[in-house]
Amino acid sequence: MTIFDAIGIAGTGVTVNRKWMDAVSDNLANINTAVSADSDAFRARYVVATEAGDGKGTQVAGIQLGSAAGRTVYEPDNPLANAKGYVKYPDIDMSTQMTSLMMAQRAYQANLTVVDRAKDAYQAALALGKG
Amino acid sequence: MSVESIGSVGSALGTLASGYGVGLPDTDNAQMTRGVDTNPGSSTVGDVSRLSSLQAASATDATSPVGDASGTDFASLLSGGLDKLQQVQSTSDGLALKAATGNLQNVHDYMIASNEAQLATQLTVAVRNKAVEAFNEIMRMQI
Repeated sequence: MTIFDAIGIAGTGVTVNRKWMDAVSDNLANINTAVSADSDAFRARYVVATEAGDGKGTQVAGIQLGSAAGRTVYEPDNPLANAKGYVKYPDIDMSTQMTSLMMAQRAYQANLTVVDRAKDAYQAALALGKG
Repeated sequence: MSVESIGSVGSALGTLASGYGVGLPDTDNAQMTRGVDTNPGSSTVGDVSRLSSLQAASATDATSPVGDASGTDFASLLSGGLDKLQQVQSTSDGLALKAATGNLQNVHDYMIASNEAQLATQLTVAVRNKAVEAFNEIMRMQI
């Protein structure tokens, strides 16, 4: 809809930040996922946001995956441990993820505020004709 | 009332407005010069001739836009607005269905679509009300 551009553009921002929150929640959910040291660790998800193709708003260009190397920890009691007693944990920093979560949440709210304010502005313009 | 008739009323309003815009300031000026003039007899004759020429000028100004616009501008605006309203509301309906069936990807998508539908409806209704108001204004006019 061309006359309500501000709302549509802010909507794309909301979508991107929603996906960022999804990625962060995926990372946090798997922060303690251990695998055998012989296989790949869980790879952190990073959302790649770019400018939208039509120049209106933003979009998710793709998901980049982090390192599969992870942290190797000696846990011989773990049933997942390899022959030498090592397991791998994903290389995800919780404080970094929490910071990202806060940024995503605030950006999500900011875009929703833009939607709300744009709606108020359009309604004020419509009220102009009611006098 | 058809859309075309509203459109022609709109163009008639524009014509009237342009007629007033041309006519009123000049008649004011004419009255002012008559008030200042020390010789009322000759100035009155002069004013009448000036006024009649002005009226002729404003009459030609007033008739020419009617032929050009022919009422399509406002009608196409209104029908275009109705088409867009239909489009926005069907988008909103589709998302509402998705929300009900649990296939909605983004909650905000539906809220934004329903807000847009609400705004578009308000805009279309406002335009319709203004058009009807203008039509009623014309119908109330003393002839």
